[in-house]
Amino acid sequence: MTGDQHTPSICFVTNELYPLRKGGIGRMLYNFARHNAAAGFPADIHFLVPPDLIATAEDEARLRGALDGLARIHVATPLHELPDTEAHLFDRASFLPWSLDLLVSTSYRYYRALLAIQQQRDAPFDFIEFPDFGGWGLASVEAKRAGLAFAETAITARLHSTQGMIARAERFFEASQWSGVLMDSERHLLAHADLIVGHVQSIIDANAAHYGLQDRWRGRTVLEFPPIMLEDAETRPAAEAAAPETRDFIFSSRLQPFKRPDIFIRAAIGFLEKHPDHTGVFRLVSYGWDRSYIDWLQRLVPASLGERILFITDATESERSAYLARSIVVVPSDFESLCLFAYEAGQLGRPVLLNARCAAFGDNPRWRDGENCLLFDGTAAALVAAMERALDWRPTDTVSVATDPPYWLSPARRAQAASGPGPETRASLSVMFTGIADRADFRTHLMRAAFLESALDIGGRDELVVLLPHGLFAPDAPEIAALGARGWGVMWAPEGEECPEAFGDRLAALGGDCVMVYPFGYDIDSDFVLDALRAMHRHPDLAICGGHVAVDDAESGQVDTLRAFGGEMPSHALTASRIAPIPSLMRRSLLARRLFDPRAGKFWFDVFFRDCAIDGEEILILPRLAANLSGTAALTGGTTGKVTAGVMDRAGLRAGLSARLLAFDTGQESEDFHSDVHVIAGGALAAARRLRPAHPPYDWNPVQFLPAHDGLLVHPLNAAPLTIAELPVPQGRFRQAMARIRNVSDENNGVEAALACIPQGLEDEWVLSVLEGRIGDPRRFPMSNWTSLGIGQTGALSLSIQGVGPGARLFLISRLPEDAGEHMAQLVFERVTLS
Amino acid sequence: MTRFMHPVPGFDTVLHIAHKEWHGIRQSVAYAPGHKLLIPAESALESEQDEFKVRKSIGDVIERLGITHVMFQGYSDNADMVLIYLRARFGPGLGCFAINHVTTSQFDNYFEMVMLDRMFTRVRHGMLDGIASVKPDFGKVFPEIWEGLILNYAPHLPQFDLPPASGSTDLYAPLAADWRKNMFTNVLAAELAGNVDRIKVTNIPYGLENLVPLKKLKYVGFLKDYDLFAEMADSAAVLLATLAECQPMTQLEAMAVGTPALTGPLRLAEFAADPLTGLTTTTNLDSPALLAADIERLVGACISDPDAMAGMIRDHLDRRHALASDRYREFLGL
Repeated sequence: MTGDQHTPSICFVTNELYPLRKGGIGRMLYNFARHNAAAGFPADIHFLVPPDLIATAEDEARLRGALDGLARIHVATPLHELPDTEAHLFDRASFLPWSLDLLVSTSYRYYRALLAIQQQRDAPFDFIEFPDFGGWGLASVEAKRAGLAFAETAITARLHSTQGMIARAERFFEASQWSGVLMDSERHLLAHADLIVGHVQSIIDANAAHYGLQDRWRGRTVLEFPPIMLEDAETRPAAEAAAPETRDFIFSSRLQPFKRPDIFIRAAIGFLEKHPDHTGVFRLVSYGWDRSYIDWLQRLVPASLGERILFITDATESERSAYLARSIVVVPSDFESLCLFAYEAGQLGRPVLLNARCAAFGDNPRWRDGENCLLFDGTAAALVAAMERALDWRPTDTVSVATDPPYWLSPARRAQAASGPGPETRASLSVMFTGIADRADFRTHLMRAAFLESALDIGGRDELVVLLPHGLFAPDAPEIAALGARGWGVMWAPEGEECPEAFGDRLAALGGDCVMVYPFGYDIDSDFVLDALRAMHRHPDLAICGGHVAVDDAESGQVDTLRAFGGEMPSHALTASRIAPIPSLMRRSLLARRLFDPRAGKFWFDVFFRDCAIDGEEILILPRLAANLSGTAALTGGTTGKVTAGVMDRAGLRAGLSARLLAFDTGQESEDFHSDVHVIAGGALAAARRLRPAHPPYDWNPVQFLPAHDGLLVHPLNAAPLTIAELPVPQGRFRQAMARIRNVSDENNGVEAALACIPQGLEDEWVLSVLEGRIGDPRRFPMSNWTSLGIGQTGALSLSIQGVGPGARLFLISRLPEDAGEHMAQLVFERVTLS
Repeated sequence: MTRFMHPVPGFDTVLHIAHKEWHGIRQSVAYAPGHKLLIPAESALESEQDEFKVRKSIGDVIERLGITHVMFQGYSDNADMVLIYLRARFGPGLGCFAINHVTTSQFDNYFEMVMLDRMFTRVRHGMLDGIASVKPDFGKVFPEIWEGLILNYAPHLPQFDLPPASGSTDLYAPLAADWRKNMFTNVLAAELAGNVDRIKVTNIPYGLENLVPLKKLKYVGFLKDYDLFAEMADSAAVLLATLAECQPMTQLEAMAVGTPALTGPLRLAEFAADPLTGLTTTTNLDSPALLAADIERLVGACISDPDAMAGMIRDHLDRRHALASDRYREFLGL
């Protein structure tokens, strides 16, 4: 087939698509398909949607019906339905809400779906287009960077509105680690996409400036105006309405801070105070997600104007069209990337009032003040003036919606992105096996080394070194001779912990282009190493290349959970680890210019990667498993409040701030610095909730935090066999739960306490029935012995929770000794330690 | 699953289909040459909404890899569904075979007989091209089964000439606490054996400590892959005196790191005359005292001449792997 005959193919990844879900993006994508059909199908259009878009068979029928003959719809297969263990692990990662793991899992699902569709088609797509928000392209982009997939496909990012840009306009509405992950992943797409598509030049420029990507985007941006196509049902009411008598105003964007419905409301109030005899009404025909924000908006409206400023949240499409047809349309948004709605209103001949401070309106040649819109300068007062002006004004011209030819029809664009498969060449590697403490470790590690050796060119361009503690073997021991016979190097380190800085020097002095540490407890996939070495060769500036890690269950040895890593995520790196796993490939030159920080306790490797991410080093995380980590070696806290404060403070100083970010309390305070221990004490114990008794007989809560004793009261009562509190515990693999308890009163007959750990999935009713002895089933969860405390006594509870698995719950339990009364039976849990 | 596989030429067009849940068979498949694919045995192969999805993808894999021979290692309802699909899709051009991995002593699990019956039916109707067994002489009992014996491979591991790590005489008994695996007798015998320092176990013999002092017991828990192999390598012998086996993978895993395993009679005619078989076979499966003497004999041989033991194991494995490949070729007609 020649280039001229080729029908370009494009797949849009989206979670909204007309006629399902409200929103302009779904509508725009639908318009692309219609526009393509009207032009005689010059392109082959596909949509990839998540299964949750189609909640019912009716939804699916509606969607397929609307796009029948226009485009192909693909629904991403849920990962748990794929046959391989890797997919199942990524699936389980999605169970952790609002986390890096969730984002990685979601993007991996789209990646696998795209691979499957291409395989099914038996041809690559010419273009895959991701929206700029959501981070769904993360895995696919990493796969393309690494040369694992999409070599003949251009990955495109369309500028709708990133959460990162919106957050600039909604300064005080975001605060979570999730925001960091999300905004980092958005930036990642924009930084690595082959093409960036925008609808308004000023918005492209604003994005490029915000993300600092002007250089990268040079020659890669496309300015094109999308098709705006109205349905008959939308145009009919406008045609029928008697426009000249229009006295009503309408806000019909989403109820979200950057859309500034508050300006509309305040302007409406100002207008009505000034013109009490105005006969029109002000409608907010809209919807939103944040109930408390919508409540606040509603409270802005004085009771006296309640019938003139109306919130209509349940309008049908036709009702909304009817309101629009008889209203002056106000779009007060601080930020928009296009605002399809404004164009649609303009097309219907409605007077449109636009916020000039929004670059998509005020810095856009399509919108001309006084001709096809009225611009106001973004304040409520200016909007009042514009409203007054609008009553006697009608557009003299219609806003231009002339559609540009889409980029996927441009052979030049296709050629620009299709790099073809990369060369098979790879970088060279020096790998160092570390963490050997005794002879048994040595033997296990050696077998792993032998497998990696078979994939590498040891003695040629690659190098394999085993780091041994002094004294483990004599220099002339047969073990050392066996290593020498294989051509492996031996290095000696001090017994115990080596200074990280010296260790870094050791790595930097090796011979390969790249170095990798192979710590004891990891089982690194040699195919990953080869993939990563090829990626290192493709990108000479790439500093770190890693993958994701499967963690085995300590008890059964079965693969259990995924430890996902973020790579180029500077915001995430401010507050969390998980940038790259320890067994990542590092370019040796990186270690020549950066040092491991020996002051970072056991977190020196994590801190190193975090600093790299914050400083903008190039990092690539392959969307695949790089290694398995033994469950017994997997205990790690990730970070602490002080480590995070130190990382942030360094970033602040480098950015030239005189403010010290050490002042910022990250809420990660714990004593977990040199040891793998998580302590819940003081006010953190107040997070406990009472499970039993369900209905206490008194008006005070037998489970409550007692500031005077700095601990959690779990007061046993005569009326209930047990008092049970559930204490939320962090995710992690713990082997032991311990509690320090105290009978804080000197007026009782003693108290008894115990701990229980409940595996995920057991039903409360069954667990509580077993604990309370109401049913005789054997107990299928660990519980400590009962400990009795006399007046004023302290004691300790200890419970082995190894192998209980993730998602386990911790119960703090008390009861009265036999024949004892409840009077002042004040049992306090002072501290709970998980290790 | 392919990391410990024997790289034997001529098996590029062979696909083993095993089951996720059946650990022992999985391991035997992992070490054998050829492509591998896992299906579930104890859950649905496909959801009702996506009928044929997995079967179709298996067919696609077969097409893509150019597979000529498929071997169902162990049999289940899901395996049966896949077989029928493959026959319908590929016709007689694709060789379809099954390997039986059970002994008749396991027939107390009724499921095993149902599956064997199903396999026999499939052979009679030409859906399966043959059934073979890893249990000796099964062909003499059931005419539907090939008379030759399929031999399991040991894992293919890198070899290092290393002295023992611990310097003490340890036994390793990775046994389940069930009747067939006979853990209590093994532990008691190891306690009695005079030349054994420690007995390392995967499961704790709960209750036994009330009867006799367990001075040598060391709990090492569940180990796999490298950790398992390293523990085996660091043991004088692996203890596997169980009541019924075909060709236990644990024995072969131990031998792959140069450690002998004491088993009950496996009755492999191919190796009956080997001195190693004599040293590593016990018939005293229900007598701790007599079993202790067999342990002492084996451990004594390891201590007195470790090089001879290493040589015997090496010879056994060389011969076994050559035979194993021949048998597969013969059975499949490769």
